[in-house]
Formats: sequence, structure tokens, C-alpha cells
Amino acid sequence: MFHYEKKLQYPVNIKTPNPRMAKIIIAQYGGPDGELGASLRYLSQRYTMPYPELKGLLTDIGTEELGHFEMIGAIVYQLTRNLNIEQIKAAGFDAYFVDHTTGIYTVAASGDPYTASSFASKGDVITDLHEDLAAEQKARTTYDNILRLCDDPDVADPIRFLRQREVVHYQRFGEGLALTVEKLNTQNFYAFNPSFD
Amino acid sequence: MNRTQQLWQMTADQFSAFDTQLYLDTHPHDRNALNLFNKYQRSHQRARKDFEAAHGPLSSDMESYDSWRWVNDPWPWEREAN
Repeated sequence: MFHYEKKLQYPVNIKTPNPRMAKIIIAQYGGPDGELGASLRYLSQRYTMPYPELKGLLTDIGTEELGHFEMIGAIVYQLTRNLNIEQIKAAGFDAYFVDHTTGIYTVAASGDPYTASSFASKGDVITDLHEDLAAEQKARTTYDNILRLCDDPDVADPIRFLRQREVVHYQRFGEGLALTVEKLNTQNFYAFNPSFD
Repeated sequence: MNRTQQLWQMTADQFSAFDTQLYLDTHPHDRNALNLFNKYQRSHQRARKDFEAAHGPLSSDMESYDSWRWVNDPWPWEREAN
């Protein structure tokens, strides 16, 4: 089961609203390499993981990603507080505004709504772990891009924390892959499909 | 310590324990990591107890108080909470 804890994993405290920045950062709320997709990916893949270390790892990282989803929601929320219509128009936030006002919704920076087709759950430990390694790097690239576009230290600070987590998760998934390959039948040189057959 | 300092202390301990937890998932027999996890976890539990006594519950399943403080502002996504 899941249980709510009434705090963020890392604090978000943004003094200056900035709807243009919100439009970009919402990529990590509902975009193809965002935190919602990350959480659903790991929490879905864990069921068919063959080894206890991987069941634990996917459960724990999938749960952490939900906390990151909440942090991104907090960033977008704080960036869009107390806006007037002129600021909304000037920042190009009007297209989002007409659909959602300042409600937080799972869309990519492009405005496309979240789609589960942005992740896979293939039921094969080798395939899924490679997807996970790639996903962490894609999210890390997205955070690098956000940092290239961001000039507010209040925003960059939690974004840097989230970027670092992608790097750590990549490391842990790499270890998960290494221990999987070790556990495979020694005759299985090409490391394929051990969870089904 | 004020609320922000208390929150930061608790968050740092909790994060240290959690990051060690992920490491332990792929290295479950690493004694040093296990000792480190226990150390961070104990420190987190103490900090959390102090924080909750002063500022209200962080989880709705904890002991009930004289009043239902769970619903009190601020909620985590609000600036005032961080």
C-alpha cells in the first residue's frame, strides 16, 4: 500500500512567479521523460522482476519518483501564483490558461497531455532494465535543458537535486543489470528473456 | 531551531537514509552501508519526533492529538511549508 507523508523530499520555495518557466518545467510533470511516467514505469515493471533486489529497487525508486512528481507540481504551482492577465499573456501562458486556468495538469511542455505510451513494461528483466537506464538519462538531459533555460536560483536548486537523482538511479539500475547478468544461466551468453521461460 | 531549520535537519537525515536504502537494495550484504542506514534512520526518527511535536503530524496514521492537526496549513507544495 501507499502512504502519504506531508512534506516534500527536498524543499521548494520560489519567491518570484514566472509562468514562462512553469511552461517549460511542466515537461517533467506530464512530459515523455517526466516524473509521472518514471513512477508508473517502475511501479508497473516491478511485478515481473525475477529477483528480490530488483523488486525492492523498482518499488523504492518508483515511490521516490512519485515524490519527485509532487516536487515538480509544487514548482509549477509556485511559479504560477498571483498572476494577472497581462503577465499571463506576456509569458505566453495564455494557451495553458484557457484550458486549465492555473490548475496543475499532466502535460508536456508542448501542451500534449500525458500519455502512457511514453514508457514500456515488457515483462523481460533485461529489456526493462535497459529501458530504465535510458529513461534516467533522458530525464537527466531534460533537467540539463531546464537548467540551461533557468536563471532563478530558487528554481535551479530543486531542479539540480532532481537531476542528481537521475544520475544516482542510473547507477543503481546499472548495478541491478550487473547482478541480473550474473544470476543468468552461465550458458546464456547473450542475456535474454530469463523471466518468462 | 525554527521550523525551516528543523525541517531541513529532518529532510537531510531522511534523504541520507533513503539514498543508502537504494544502495542496500543492490548491495544487501554491505555491513558498512547497513550501519550507515541505521545511523541516519535513528537520527531521522528523532528529528521527526521533535518536528511533529512542534508542528503537527506528517502522516495521518500517527497518534491522535487533542485536535485534528492533520488538515492544518501549510501543505507541502506551499512556500510556507518549505
